[in-house]
Amino acid sequence: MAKIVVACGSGVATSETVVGSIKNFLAEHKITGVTVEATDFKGLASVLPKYDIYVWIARPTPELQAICQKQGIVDVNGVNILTGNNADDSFKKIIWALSQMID
Amino acid sequence: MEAYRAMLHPELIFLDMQADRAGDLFIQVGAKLQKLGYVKTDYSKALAQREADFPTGLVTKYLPVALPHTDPEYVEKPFICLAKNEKPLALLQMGTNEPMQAQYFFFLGITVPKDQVVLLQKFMQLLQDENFVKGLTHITEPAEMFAFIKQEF
Repeated sequence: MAKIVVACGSGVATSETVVGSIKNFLAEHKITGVTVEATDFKGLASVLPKYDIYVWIARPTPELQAICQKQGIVDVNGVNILTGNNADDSFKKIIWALSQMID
Repeated sequence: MEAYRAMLHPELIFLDMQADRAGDLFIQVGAKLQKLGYVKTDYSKALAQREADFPTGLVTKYLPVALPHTDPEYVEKPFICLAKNEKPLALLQMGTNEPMQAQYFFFLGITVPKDQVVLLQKFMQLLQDENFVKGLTHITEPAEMFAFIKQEF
C-alpha cells in the first residue's frame, strides 16, 4: 500500500483540495492501493517517515528535506496541482514514484 | 444548491480597495469582515501571521491571485470575499515563497474544511477558464460581480 501525504500550512484549505485532485487523478487512471491524506505543517516532521510520497504546498523546511532524503521519500510540487499550471509534471512524478515501488 | 455556494455574499465584494502593501489590505479587509460579523477580533492578526509563515500567492494560468486565510477558530461564519486593489501588491507565492504581484485577493473563511474545499476546487478550475478570468477582470460593479461569480460557481 503506497501512502501519499499532502501538507499545507494548516491542513485547512489547500491540502484538502489537492488531496481531492490526486484522488480524482488516481481514479481516472484506475490506480488503486494508494492512500492520500492531508496534514498540517506542524505535525509533519513526526509523521513524514510513514509516507512514500510528500506533496508540498507550503515550502518544505530543511528538516523535512533531510527526512525525505534519508528515508527515500519522493517530494512533489503540490502547488502545480492546485493551480493546474504544470500539473502534469507533478502527476508524472507521482506516477514515477509509484512505479518505483512496484519493484 | 451546493452548500458551498452559501459562502458567497453580495456584501463581501470589494472592488475599490486602495492599499499600498498587502499587509495593509489584510488589515482593511479584516476590519470590514469583523464589522459584518464574519470573523473574530483576532482575525487580522492571525491572517498576517499565517501569511508570513505560509504565503498564499498563486500564479495561475491567466491571473495571479492570493487566497489569504486563517485557521477555522478565527472565523465566525463561512465566507469567500473578493477584494480587488487599485494596483497590484507584492506578496509571496505559496509553496516556493518566490516574490509575485497580485491585484485580486480571495479571502477564504473556512470553518469545516472537508465540506468547504469544494469551493476552492471549483474556484481553481474557474481560474483555468479564460472566459471566467475575462469576466472577473472586466466587471467593475460589485452587484454585477456578485451575480457573475454566483452564476459561475
